[in-house]
Amino acid sequence: MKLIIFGRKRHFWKGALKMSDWFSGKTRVLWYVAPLFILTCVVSFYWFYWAEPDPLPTRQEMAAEMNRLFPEVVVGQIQETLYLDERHLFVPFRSEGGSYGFSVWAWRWHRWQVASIESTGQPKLIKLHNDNPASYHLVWNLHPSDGVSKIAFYLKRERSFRYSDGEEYYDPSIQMKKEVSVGGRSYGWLALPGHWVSVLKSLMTLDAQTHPKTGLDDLMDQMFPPPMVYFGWIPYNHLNQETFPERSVNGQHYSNGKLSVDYILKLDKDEIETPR
Amino acid sequence: MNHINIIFLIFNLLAWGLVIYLAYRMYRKQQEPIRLWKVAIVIVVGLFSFSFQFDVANTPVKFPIIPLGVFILFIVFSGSETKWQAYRTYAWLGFGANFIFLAAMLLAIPLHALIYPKDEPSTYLARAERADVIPVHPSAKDLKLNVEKLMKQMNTLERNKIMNTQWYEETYTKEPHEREERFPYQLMGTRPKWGSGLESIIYIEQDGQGLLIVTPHETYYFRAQAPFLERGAKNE
Repeated sequence: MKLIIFGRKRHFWKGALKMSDWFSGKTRVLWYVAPLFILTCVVSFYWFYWAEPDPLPTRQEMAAEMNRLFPEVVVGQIQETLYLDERHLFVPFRSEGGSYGFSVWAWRWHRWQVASIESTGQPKLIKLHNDNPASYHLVWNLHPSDGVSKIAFYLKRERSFRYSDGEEYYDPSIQMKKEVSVGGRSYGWLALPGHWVSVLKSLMTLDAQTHPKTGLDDLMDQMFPPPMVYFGWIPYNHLNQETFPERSVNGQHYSNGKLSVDYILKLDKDEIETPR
Repeated sequence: MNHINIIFLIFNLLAWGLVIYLAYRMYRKQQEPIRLWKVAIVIVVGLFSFSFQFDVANTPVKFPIIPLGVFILFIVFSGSETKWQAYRTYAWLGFGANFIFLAAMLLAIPLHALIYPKDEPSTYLARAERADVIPVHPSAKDLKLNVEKLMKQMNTLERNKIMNTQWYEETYTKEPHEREERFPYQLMGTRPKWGSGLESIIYIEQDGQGLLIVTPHETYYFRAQAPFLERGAKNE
């Protein structure tokens, strides 16, 4: 095979096999290899990170994949497939055993993958991107016989007053509430309210300056959201009384470890600050 | 990130300038012919050191102890005595540059404190055109921020003690569900003094007359003469 590139006639393969020639001026194998290498990089980068997600697999295929990964729960019926953003799915399902759970799917490495499976559907916090609270979602799929008709979600931080070396330090209490009615269907999802996002962002920014990233060790310190704030929930029945969702708690979990699906605290009305 | 610390940045650049100037002087007197880009790499590698990190006024600074980069270069150049002789001074310049950076930081820290006094509210609250308050606790009433009233009082704000017995008793002796929060609003959309690089979270007192400024290492509490939160007032 003869190639004519840059006005030179060469036996391309012969030249390529002689390693010592690769970088010398005699042959220009590098001229062929380098663009090919760069092209491969660009194409695979595009393919794995930028390419639009494929349409979803069928529900049968999804159920089969979930059962393969997590045989502890046999998916009976997928109730719905909901996009949290264009690359993340919230998939509430009913199991053959009669429990209500959900799964989260993510488009990664050019494939729809199961990120997590929950056998029961008490609310969880999904962080699509850990450092951006605007991407956080609260999701749930409560068992209908638990009779929950309203959920109050909370963003909370305890106040703390400290004295140290004659200086006063005070972090006020934070308690923000968002109520969601759960009528009609067992599952639901909620992107964090704008004010919550603003508060979380300001705490994260301050925390980043309090513990500046100086080395690899400190990466472990970067707990987001900052350790003091936490999420909580209180379920109410149709009489507006606190209720305990027995059939929606104490589930089993599967996670591929790539996405944070965090437990949120079930709170008690006595822990909620209610000024007159 | 969007708040740059201009003083530290300038001193860092000055330190780099000094290092480059010293390298340039050494290079001009150089007898052996060596490549400039290699000199640059040797200096950068020479910078690499094991250092003791400590805080000066809550700012982390590094005191270099073991010249790791110089050791690495010594091993790299171990084959050729003459090359090591030529590059050795630059490797040590790289290690010495750590001290130049340390000195620059030790000058920058007090200068920064002078230009941006840490206990003045205007350092943290310099611009408030797009300011707004959001309730972060149910103790908050439906009050709006009057930016003009706040900014007019910036120079007359007085630093106070946070602690008083009445507040402490009302807050800490009650059952959790009966507690009120004294600072139930957060001030959003304000900017610190330009170039200070200082982050803070600012809370506003229930009566609309107090500012609680929480910085990474301090808490400051300031009182105003008149309230700057109002019922039904516009944000503008």
